[in-house]
Order: sequence, then structure tokens, then C-alpha cells
Amino acid sequence: MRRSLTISAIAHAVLLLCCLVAFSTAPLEVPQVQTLSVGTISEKDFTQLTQGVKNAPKLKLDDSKPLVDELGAPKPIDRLADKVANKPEITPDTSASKPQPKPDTKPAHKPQQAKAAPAYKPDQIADLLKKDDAKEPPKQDDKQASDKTAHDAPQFSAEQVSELLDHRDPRREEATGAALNNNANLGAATGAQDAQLSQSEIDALRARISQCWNPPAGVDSTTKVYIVLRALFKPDGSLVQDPIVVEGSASALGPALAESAKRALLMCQPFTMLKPEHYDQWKDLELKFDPQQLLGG
Amino acid sequence: MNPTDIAQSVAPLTSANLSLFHMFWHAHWIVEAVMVGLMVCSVWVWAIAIDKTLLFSRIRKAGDHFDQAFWSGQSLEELYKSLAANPEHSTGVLFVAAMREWKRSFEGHVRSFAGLQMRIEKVMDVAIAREVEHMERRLLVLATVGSAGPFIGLFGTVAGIMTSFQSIAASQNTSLAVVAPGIAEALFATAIGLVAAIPATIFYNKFVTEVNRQAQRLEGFADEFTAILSRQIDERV
Repeated sequence: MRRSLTISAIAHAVLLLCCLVAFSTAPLEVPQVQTLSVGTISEKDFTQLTQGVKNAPKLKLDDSKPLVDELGAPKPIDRLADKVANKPEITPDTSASKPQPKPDTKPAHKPQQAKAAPAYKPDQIADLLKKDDAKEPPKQDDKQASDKTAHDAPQFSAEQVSELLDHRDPRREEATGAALNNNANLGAATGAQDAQLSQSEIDALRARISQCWNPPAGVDSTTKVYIVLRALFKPDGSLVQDPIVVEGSASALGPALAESAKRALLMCQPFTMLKPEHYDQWKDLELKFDPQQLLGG
Repeated sequence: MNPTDIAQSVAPLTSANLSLFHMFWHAHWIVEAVMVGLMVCSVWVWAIAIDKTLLFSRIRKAGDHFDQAFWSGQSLEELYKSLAANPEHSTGVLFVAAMREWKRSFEGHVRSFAGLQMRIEKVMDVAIAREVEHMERRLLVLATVGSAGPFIGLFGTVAGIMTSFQSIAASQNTSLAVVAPGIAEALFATAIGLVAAIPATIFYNKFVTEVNRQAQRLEGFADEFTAILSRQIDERV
């Protein structure tokens, strides 16, 4: 028995030593997490931040990248050149009436007349302008400035207007340019650029759509189908084009549902409850037509 | 007083010295006592296990050896003479006890055959009982450690956790650094309890089975040998 006891004791001692080695716990390595400081700003601050600066430097014409008509439009280069070449010819005829305080003959009188009395016939204006041209050819800056304002002037002859009009395909969508301008500018008209559509606007739109929507036979508030349409709006709330089906539930009712939803959108336009100030938010909407929500109330 | 200072004074066990040795020395004395007791139990259990394993292997070998000699056709007298001086365990002891009784019955010129068979049976029963008792000795320790070890360890754990909660209350700081050392000590007690109890239970079951098997073997031999002697008695009468 003593021998066994000795063996056992020795074995335990050895085991304990092994445990001392095996259980020598290294302290847990806590990974060093970089602190991320988070600042919060109130909505008011945010609005002020994006409000724009009144005394911001005026942008040169090249700096501003306004809305473009069509992204990646395959315009032939020669046509562009054509336009540029043509424009100076037209503009002096049409819109030089406004920025003409410089000429000595009738200071501050002509612009008022031009605005107040649009009864002037284009020919008369042309005559007057010819006189001015003879006296003093307008500076290059004035030309450019008049270029910009040319679009606002309402008093054109029909041919000239037609020349100014864009004869491209009427099917086009507004989109922002490829590169945004980072220079400080006068800011957005509404301040907050990325504001959300307000709940009241969303509710009004939903109410209007559910009013207009005449779901196909077999679809009621308990049917589990849905369709998502993508609609592009013009600033006046009407549709740019027919809505596009983005997704829908796989169902035999699907095509009929999609048709009825499209019809509802087309019938109800324009959606005047969408405020033009927030046009950026609702110009491209994905609308989900779910009978359970729209019809069930 | 700074809370961190309190934590330091209450739980001086820092992450730097968390080895088993430090864990043991920083434990509460109740926990320490439980740990030491269980450690001793474990040593004792293994000592018994080693002892019994050797004993049973010896018994088995001796039994086989005796069986071979007994059934080899050797004269029982010679076998008795060779074994009487130093009877090994197992069936040899039975044989020697029975033969001694037989010899006494004849050598005393009593020639009392009447109760001879009964006496031999009795002697052999006593020998079997003694052998089984010898084999079963200390097995109860294994059973006790096996059943009580976890509870003792659990007691140590409860005591350790109690003290660790007391240290939380004292430092008024519930950070894991205050609680963890105490709980680690406490769990160490349960671990030792299990380390002692699990082998004890396993060995107990193993040895009980072995004892039963050997007892059966002894019984079988006793019956057989009684039959042989009874035939002899009948022939002599």
C-alpha cells in the first residue's frame, strides 16, 4: 500500500506541475479599438451649414456645372460647335435690349420700355439695336451676360424662338452633371439639400394614389401581391414618362396589377401635393403598390 | 479612497499572477481547506486504485496458476505441501483451508466422518468471506470520494463565491476585475472535486465488478472441491 501511495503522490505532483504550465493563463489581449469621436449637430445647425453664403464669390461660367439635360448624351461634336458659332449671331438681336444702360442715347429708358411694353415689334427693336451697334459694339462680357439671360426674354420672333429651342428627342430626363461643383456658392434655395419628403406629403401622395387606383378584379385588401413602380416626375408633378415596373410579386395577377398601377399614376398626374422646393427628393420615386396597405386603409 | 485602490486591496490578484499556485494562496481559508482535502482524497484514491489493480492482477495470476496445478493430475497431498507454507490469494487459500481441515480430521485419529463435509464447507465459506473482505477493503473510500467529492468541491465553490461577493460589496465596484479572481478560485475547488471524484467512481465500479467475478470464482471452486472431498469421504466410509 505504501508503494501505491508513493506512486500516486508522485503522479499527482507531476500532474500539478503540468497543470501549472498548461494553465498559466496569459492575460486576454484586448484589441486596441481606435476611438471614433462622434459629433452631433442639430437640424438647425445643418440647415445653416448648407444655407449658402451670400457674399460667396461669383462663379465663372466654366466653373458652374448646372443641371445637364441628358447624361452621356451622344452629341456630335460638330453640332456643338455649330451652336456656339450660331449663338452670338442671334443674341444681339434678341436680348441686347436689357443690358443696355451704357449707351448714351437713351439711358435707363429702354430697358424699362422693353419690359413694360412688349408691344414693340421685333423689327423695331432690331432697328434700335442696329443703331446701338453702329455707335458702339457691345463688349464681349456683355455678350456673354446676354447669352445667359437670353432664355428668359419672352419677346422673340417665332423663327428665332424655334432656333433657340432644343430640337432633340423630347424623351429626356433631368439629372445632375457627372462632377459636382465644390466651390462655395449661393447654396440651395431651400437650405437642406438632402431633406426627406415630409410625412404629410407622403400621406397625401398615398391618399391620392389609393383614390385613383382601380385594382384589377381579384385583388382586394387581403391579396398578398405587390408591385413596385419607378416614376420620374417633372417639377410640376406630372410624369416624365410611363412608370417602369421595378419589381413585383410572382403572381398571375402581376401584369394586371402593374397595368392598373401605371394607369392610376398616369390618370392622377400631376401630383400637386409634392412641393417643388423638394423636387430633388421626389423627382425619382419608387412607389410600392400593396393592396393590403393601399386598399385596406 | 479611490475605488481602484479598494479594488487593489480587496483583490490583490491581478492578471499578472493568475497561476494555479497564486490562485490557491489567495483563496479564502475554507476554500483552501476544501482544496487540500480534495487533493489528499485524490492522492488516496489513486493509491487505492494502483494497489487494487496490482492486487487483482496478482490474484488472477495466482488463481490461474493454482487451477493449472490443481487440474494437472498432481496429487492433492503434494499440492498441499507445496502451498501450505505460503498460500497465495484466491483459490489456493481455499484449497489449503479445506485440506487443513481434512488433515486434522484424519491426523487426530478421530475419524469422525460424520461432520467432516459440513466442517469443510464451513471452513471454505469462512475463507471465501476473508478473501472477499480482503479484496473489498478500501473500496468504500472510492465510493465515498466518488459520491461526495463533487459536493465538497461545490461547497468550496459556494464559499469562494460568497467571499468574492463580499469583496464586491466591500469595494462597491462591480467590475469584472474584482469578481473574476474570487470566482476563478471558487471554480478551481469544483474542478479539484471533479478531478478526485471522477476516477474514484470509475475505479469503484471497475473494482466492484472485479470483486464479484473473483468471489464467483471462489464459490465455484469451493463447490467443486467440496464435491471431490465428499466423494473421497464416501469412498472411505
